[in-house]
Amino acid sequence: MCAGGADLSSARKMIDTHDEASLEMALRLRDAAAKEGNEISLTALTVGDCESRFAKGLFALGYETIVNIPCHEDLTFRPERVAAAICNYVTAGAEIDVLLTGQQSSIGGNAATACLIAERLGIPCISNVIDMEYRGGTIRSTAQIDSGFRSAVVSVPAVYSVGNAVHPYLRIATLQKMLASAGRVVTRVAAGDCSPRMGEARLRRLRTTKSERKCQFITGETVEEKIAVLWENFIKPTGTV
Amino acid sequence: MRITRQRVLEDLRAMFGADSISVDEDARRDHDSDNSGYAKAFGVFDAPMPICILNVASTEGVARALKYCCEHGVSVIPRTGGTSYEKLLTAVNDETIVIDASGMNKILKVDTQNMMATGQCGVPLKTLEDLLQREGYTTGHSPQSQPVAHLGGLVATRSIGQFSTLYGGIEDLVCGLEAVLPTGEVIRIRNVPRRASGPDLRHLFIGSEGGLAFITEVTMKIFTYYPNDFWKGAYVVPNLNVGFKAIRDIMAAGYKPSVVRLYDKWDFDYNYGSIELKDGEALMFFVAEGPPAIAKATGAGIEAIARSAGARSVGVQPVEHWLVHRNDLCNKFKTEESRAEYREKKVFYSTNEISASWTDIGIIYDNVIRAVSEKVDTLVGVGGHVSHCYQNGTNIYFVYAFKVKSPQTFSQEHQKIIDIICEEVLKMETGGCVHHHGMGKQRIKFAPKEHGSSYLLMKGIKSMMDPKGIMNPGVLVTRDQRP
Repeated sequence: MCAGGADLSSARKMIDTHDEASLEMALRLRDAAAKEGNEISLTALTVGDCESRFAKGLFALGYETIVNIPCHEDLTFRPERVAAAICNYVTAGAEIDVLLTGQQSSIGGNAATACLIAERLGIPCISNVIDMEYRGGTIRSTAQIDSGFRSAVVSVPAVYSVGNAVHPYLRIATLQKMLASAGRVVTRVAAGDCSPRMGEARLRRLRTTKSERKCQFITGETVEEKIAVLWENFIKPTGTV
Repeated sequence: MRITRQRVLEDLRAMFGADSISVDEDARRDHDSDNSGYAKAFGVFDAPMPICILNVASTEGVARALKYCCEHGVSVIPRTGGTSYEKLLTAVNDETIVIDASGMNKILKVDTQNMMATGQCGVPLKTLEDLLQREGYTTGHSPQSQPVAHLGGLVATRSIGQFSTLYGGIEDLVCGLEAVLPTGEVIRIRNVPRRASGPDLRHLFIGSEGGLAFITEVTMKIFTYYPNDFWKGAYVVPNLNVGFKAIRDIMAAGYKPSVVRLYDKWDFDYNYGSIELKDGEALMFFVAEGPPAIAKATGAGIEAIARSAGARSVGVQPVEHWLVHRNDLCNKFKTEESRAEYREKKVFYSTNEISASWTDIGIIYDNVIRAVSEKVDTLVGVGGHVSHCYQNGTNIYFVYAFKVKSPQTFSQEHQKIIDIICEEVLKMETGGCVHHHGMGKQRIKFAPKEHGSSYLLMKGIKSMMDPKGIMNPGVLVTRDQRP
């Protein structure tokens, strides 16, 4: 620890697990489309920092474009700003049919970004996506819901928020592909106006709710005595045994 | 007439009791632990299945078992922690039993007056080390497998630890040992500080890879531990050759840090990534330990030489990060998590450790990186690091990852890379193609070249000590030269 919180300066940066799953999911859709003779063009977009080794790896895997929207403020707990920056990019002319996001990050995760993007763009949002299938020119997604799974074909454009995916790991590019894609450059795009829109929910106040628990110590000289007290006073009266 | 597998089972059950014998299919299929872990993740098991796993709890039990196996021509794989790679533990024929002595796990004596500790072969090194550190001592032996390895195997593989530049490898630490010969005789080499009564017999067993005897007890040196007086320093150098030279100068000047490490960018990014390195740069770091005055003086000497070599200090954080995470790989050892990752990513990561003199090491590094990059089209990356240094040279731990075409071809694909590395290393006069993992069965084909004209000695020793060729067939000598 250091002043201001945990010292993460030595921690190796990694792509968040849900983001990793969504990157892999996009590649699988592309591969499936290619088998049918169709082409899917992939763009990876990141808001904030963009590690060059991640970008190199994604170019090598076949992402045609990598967009970075730099942002120097702390975006933890600011899904509305992230969503706004992404929507500004989309509405500026990027032709996006399918927008995949990670469900939530491991730090400051709120699972709100995808929904806010969809709300701003006025398109459907499917949450908790665990798998997607490309077949016959359509995309069928499978999402985890409280009572099980739901599979649906949704007309594009749509936002898919990828959670605990069936295929969670991003494939790895060979050295030859890395060398072949050397020199590719990340496109930097300004964030634009990220201020909240009219009607968008804004956090005004946080307060804690009291949740007291009652605790009683069971006393007794021996373990047997304590068990007897526990049985007589707490378990037997409930009639559950 | 050859004895049948069924007969072997019946005889061993009669000798040791059914409870000592495991014929569990999963246990036998997986008898060599994480070896071929990638293929196993897909249910591909291409090694012969041992007849059984015999669990023994005493030297006498080992002796009876070996005597029986020698009489009946049954092959034996000695095993304790089961943490070795290089297919050291992998059966090569259908007439094999695994003798597992991990139950021989007693620490027999800690002698702080004479600075020695004695344990049975199944003592986990971590258990011994933790016990010693509580008392202010250390074995000084800290291989990456320390959390999971046992004493017997550590000696049999001629292992080396991350602090070896100060403390030495296992060959410098073993005082004496007890072992059982293939014919069943129990021998003991006493804990004499030094003797000049002929060649050092300990070296018949240290690095024997289970091919000459079953090591049942080990006595090691112990050292006073000064954990609060570590000196640490980390430096970025513009390229690996600058690092080689700086480390060479440090060693030649007489400084003996306990930890010396020099990472190229790919290896460091892949395994730690705690600081940013530019293309071509390398990270070099050191730990000096011992009595405070010695640690401080060693550190000052290293600092002066490193800076004069053009190294840029990056503080102690990379060292501290490494000290915390250096054995994290053991958390994945033989786990379902690692096997699930193989099935998903279809990428295999492995290592090959070699050594050479200071003048040859840089050439070997360049040649290996180039050859592997050119010849392996499924390569994800290759790199390496220095981790054990000597007056006359150093090691490199080459690390590489490749996309596996299929579980069925995994062994051949992996062997191809091993062969490329060994061939490049052995082109150089001082290149040794095995630094500390043991040759096992993965690099045994290079034994004649590795030993050159002295290979006849290895053949002679194997023939003399294991006349029936029952001990871990496939190690030490190539299979066409077994007794």
